[in-house]
Amino acid sequence: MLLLATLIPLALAGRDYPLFLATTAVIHALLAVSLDVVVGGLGLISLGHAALFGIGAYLSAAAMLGLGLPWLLALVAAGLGGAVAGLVLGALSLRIRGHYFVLVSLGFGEIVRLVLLNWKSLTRGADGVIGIPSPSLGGVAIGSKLGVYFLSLGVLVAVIVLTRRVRTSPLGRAAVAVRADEMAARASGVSPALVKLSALAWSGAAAGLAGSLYAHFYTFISPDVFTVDVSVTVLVMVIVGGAGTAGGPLLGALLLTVLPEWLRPFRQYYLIVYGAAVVLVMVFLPEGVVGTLRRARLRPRAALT
Amino acid sequence: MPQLLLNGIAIGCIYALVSCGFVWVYQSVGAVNFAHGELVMVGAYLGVTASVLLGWPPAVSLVVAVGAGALLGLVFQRVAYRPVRGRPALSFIVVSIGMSILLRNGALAVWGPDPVAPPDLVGGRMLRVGDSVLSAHHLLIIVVTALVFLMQALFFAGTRLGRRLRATAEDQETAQLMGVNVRAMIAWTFTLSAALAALAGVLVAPVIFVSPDLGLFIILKAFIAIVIGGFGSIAGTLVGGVFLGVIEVLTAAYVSSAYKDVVAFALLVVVLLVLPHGFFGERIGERA
Repeated sequence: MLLLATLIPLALAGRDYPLFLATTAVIHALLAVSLDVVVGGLGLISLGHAALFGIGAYLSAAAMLGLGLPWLLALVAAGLGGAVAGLVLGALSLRIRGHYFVLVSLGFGEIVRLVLLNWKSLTRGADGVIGIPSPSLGGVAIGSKLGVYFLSLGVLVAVIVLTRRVRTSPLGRAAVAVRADEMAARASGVSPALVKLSALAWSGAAAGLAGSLYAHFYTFISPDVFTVDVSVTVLVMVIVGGAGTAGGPLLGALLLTVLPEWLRPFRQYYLIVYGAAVVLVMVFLPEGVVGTLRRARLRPRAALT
Repeated sequence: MPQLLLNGIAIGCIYALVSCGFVWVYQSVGAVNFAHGELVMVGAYLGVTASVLLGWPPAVSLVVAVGAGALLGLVFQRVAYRPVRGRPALSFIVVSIGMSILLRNGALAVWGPDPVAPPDLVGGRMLRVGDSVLSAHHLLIIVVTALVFLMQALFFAGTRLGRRLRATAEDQETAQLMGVNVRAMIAWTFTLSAALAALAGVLVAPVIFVSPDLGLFIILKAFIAIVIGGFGSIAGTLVGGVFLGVIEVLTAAYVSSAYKDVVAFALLVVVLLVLPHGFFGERIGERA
């Protein structure tokens, strides 16, 4: 998969639009992977992911435009900002569970968007922030589309590798225990609070990084980019691909970035089809595409008879 | 000032009607329906279609829209709830998110993106009380809401169907053993909930513009009202809704209309942290 992700854009070099789409897909994949830490890892549904994404984007833009910091520090700032916002969401998740948390995360996302919209002296309100510089490494600006693509891909791969590491560490196994049965996990000496806070902080950090990549790739951000729709889309990517599976969020992100382009002739009806697809997937493939495939492979005999 | 308070109470009553239908479904089948706002939005459009496009009298349009809304609720239940019944609660949450995307964009395809404001149900009449001028439509909203809450209390306490619905809400298995047709009761719950949503949609349409995004706007507000009142409490939805409506109008008048929504969501977080049961509710965090 990594090989394909490297070769295809090289073949597309010089053709801007497919490359633009590929970079968008990578940023979406980063968001989906980060949300899956919460959805697949903890079994919590969050509809506040756009807020973490937006905070990262605004912080990164402010670090470069306002403070004149180099891009790498702006990226770090975005990651830290996302992590802090994730911790706030995590603190809320300790007091509020199940579907209450869905509502609270939705409210959290709306509050952040409304603050971005109304705190005009800091964020320039609805006008948005324009002219965000391209990323640069060691003083060399990475202006080309291909360069930004590989930069994003690098961040995505790093996040995936780190997430896998954590998943097999004691903390990751504690998360599995908390998800399965919180009471039993607590009785075995696992702290659910620690698990949830670290998962949401990590998820927030990765979403913040995605925000930074988005800001410097598109060079323009406004509160309109970070609406509930983004939170919903990313959640749908995770669910359709398969929450808690290795390739699921990636496949979901790829499908839901490319599908709108294929369905372009039906533009007006695309979102209707999309809504129906979410319903159908949840009804017929409750574990997502990858989750269902994996299950089918695990018991081929049963399927034959 | 009286006009201001009346506006706040009227919009609060709308939040209460929307919340009430949502809580019915939540109580009886434990399902959180994220598409409930879209049922309000479609109800509002049905009202607009009947009264503006077809030119029917307001009262007829109201009845037709509520009837069609009820039918939509029945179909919704069959298509979106029945297939995932018995699965974890989060399954229906995701399905209802899909349904809300479908309905919102379906409305966009049918009725277009431009907001429309139908004439109100009482011909835009104003009432003069002392020094202040009050809108008759706002008064109508308050009266209708009061009637709805009174009728639903009588319905659930005193009728056979109402008691069977309550038995289903209490414990589905036991209700089944006692000879209650639980499937039919679930269908009834969704139908009544959608009818109430359509009623709220028709009533609110002349006050705020109708657009495909109306559902998202109204369900977010209803969530806040429900949490303030206490999750799962019917009386709480009335108190929470009116409280939220009045706070919003006062914020818009005396602070800034831009921060009206920020205050509403801040209220949500503060209530959850300080008073997690709301005014009347079950303990938050117990049900998963």
